[in-house]
Amino acid sequence: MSDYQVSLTSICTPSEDIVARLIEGELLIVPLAAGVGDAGDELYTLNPTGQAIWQQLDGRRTLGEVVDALAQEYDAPRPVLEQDVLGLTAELLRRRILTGRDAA
Amino acid sequence: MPPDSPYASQVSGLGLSNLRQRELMQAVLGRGAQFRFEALGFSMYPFIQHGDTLTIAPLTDPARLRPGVVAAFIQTENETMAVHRLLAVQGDQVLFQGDNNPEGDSPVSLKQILGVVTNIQRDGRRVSLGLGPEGLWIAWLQRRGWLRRLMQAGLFIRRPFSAGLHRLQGSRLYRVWVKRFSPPFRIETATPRDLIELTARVSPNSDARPLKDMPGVTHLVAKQGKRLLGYLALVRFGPQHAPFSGFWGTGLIVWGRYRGAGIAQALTDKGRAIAISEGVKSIRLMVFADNQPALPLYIKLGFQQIEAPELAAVLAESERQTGKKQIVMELDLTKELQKNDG
Repeated sequence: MSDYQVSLTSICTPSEDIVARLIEGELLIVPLAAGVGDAGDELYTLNPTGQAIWQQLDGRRTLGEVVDALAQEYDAPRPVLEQDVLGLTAELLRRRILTGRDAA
Repeated sequence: MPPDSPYASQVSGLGLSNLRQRELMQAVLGRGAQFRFEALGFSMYPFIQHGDTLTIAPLTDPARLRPGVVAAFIQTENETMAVHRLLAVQGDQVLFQGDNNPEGDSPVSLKQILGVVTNIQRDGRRVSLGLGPEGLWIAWLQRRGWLRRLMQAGLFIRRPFSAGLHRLQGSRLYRVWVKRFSPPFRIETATPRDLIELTARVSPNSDARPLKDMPGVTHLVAKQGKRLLGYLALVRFGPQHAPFSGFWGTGLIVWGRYRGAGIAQALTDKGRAIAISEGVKSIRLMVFADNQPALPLYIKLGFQQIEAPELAAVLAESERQTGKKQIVMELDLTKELQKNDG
């Protein structure tokens, strides 16, 4: 579990220890543990909201900027987008699927 | 991932299509990591069995591709991923064949080979037979068409032992022994993963399209850990499904070596409890009249043959198509219902 507390000034990046692949429109994530990707019961998949957020996590933009980008693309209230972005990233940080740091 | 997560969910790789499995494998191997997944199917039986966990390593050195090696590759004719044994390398063409397949695969190029099998796990234990130097002999026998003949001979030799086990499973002493000393099992509703496994077991030659959760159908399974021991489906047919209207039990099966442990009884008891909780007066089933292993079991479980004139046409059509007579049996629950009401 990661102890990092996510906020809108955080920058999140997919972990080096996962493989993520968009296949037939579905994002599948396989964690790599000790150099092995286990597709038994250790696979994760994101819903459409999660996928839209994931695609914005480029390791350069803060989560606030990710919310801005999503607000331009989707017709959703900003508080809802913020809740979605912070909710998903907190969850994926807990699972070590993302790494997080504060913007410099 | 918590199951109630609004954004993400944990899924079983067992339900992945071949394409998804192949693409994930390519992505993981492309990172230099190994890929672990559960094998479905019987093409590599007996060395790789349905449900075994395989570890595939990236092919870093093409010199590793020698006859006898088991590798994952993309099949030429349909671009699906397969795991079969390498029989020969002829120039830039590689020949594969499943140990249990009567014919070889279409030749593949080196580019189509994804990785090599380095580990087989079965029921939590490593299985090494078939991955060592003996692989060369297996490939040699297969190229001459002798491997399947040997396996068939093995089955022939095993037949008396299987018959002996079957007789033993029918004995009271065996059943007492098994019930006392075998690990406990549980009866529960099948998970999506169980349904995939069941489909592959019941229809091993199909593309393993899973049984579905359908309205009115309850799939019950007997399990030890993740291992499936038995199955029973409960099907509720409404008035619109006449002449089948009613509560049916179907597909009752206990796999070979687990028989005699009371699993069929436990599955039926669970079905009976569900039916009573729904206020159902009886459970019906259809069985071939010459199905000798099944009939005494159903009678022991409390079923009795009944006349079902409304099904006469269905039974006659079945007999015309199969050449075998089917009968209808029923488990009467009225007394238990009355007891519950009282």
